Amino acid sequence: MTLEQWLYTATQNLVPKAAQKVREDIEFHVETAMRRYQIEGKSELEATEFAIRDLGYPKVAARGFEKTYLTKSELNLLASDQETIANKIWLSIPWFVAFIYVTITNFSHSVEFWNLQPWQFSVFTFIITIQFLINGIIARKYSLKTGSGLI
Amino acid sequence: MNLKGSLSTLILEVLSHGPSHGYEIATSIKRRSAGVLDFKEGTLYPTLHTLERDGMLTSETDIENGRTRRYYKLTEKGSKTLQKSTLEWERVSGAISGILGGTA
Repeated sequence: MTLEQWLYTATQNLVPKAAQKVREDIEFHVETAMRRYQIEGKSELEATEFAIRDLGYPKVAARGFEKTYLTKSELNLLASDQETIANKIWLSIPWFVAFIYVTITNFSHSVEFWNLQPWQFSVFTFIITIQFLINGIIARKYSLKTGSGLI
Repeated sequence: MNLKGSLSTLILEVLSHGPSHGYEIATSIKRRSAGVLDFKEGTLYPTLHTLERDGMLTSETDIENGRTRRYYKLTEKGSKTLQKSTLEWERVSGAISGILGGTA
């Protein structure tokens, strides 16, 4: 197995930034190990073979890295979730503003028009406000995750 | 010997003596255990990166011969975790030794 094959297997599912970090560490590790083997009298070919063998199975390392870093599929899932939430917020903004505007400027007329009690208006306003806040909190949580340096 | 679960503590211990890169950490563990704690070096890095993610370590890079070399350094949080883990290990290993030696 070549170093490139080892690295491909170990990092193929990771997001690019994480894969790059792993690659840098492993490449430096193997190069240092190769130098050590060559000092001990091994040929370049033998030194390379021994240094890669010492790394062990790349699939085992991949499982470890995938526990630490976001994988490509997780990132895609996260992105689609983020998009859904962003759309929700985007769609809820005009409704929220319109509702508040109507409630404040034309409260008595609205009550008559919809035949609603004032407490019912308060409940609707409360529910929409809470939904808006929850969407904002979820969006914030995801933006913190994606900005955490793991991708 | 299987290092599962102990590797984090061993890495923190090695780094308590000063910043180091992955290869040095791996060889230090093998050398100090006289080869008893042998492990595949590729498994060291997931643990190293997890420790860094959890704030136990920080890393800095420099370029040597066109290659990026990353040094890992113990943080205050890592140092406290090491102290706790060492005490816990002494407690557990003492208990096991007591049972195996027939003194407990």
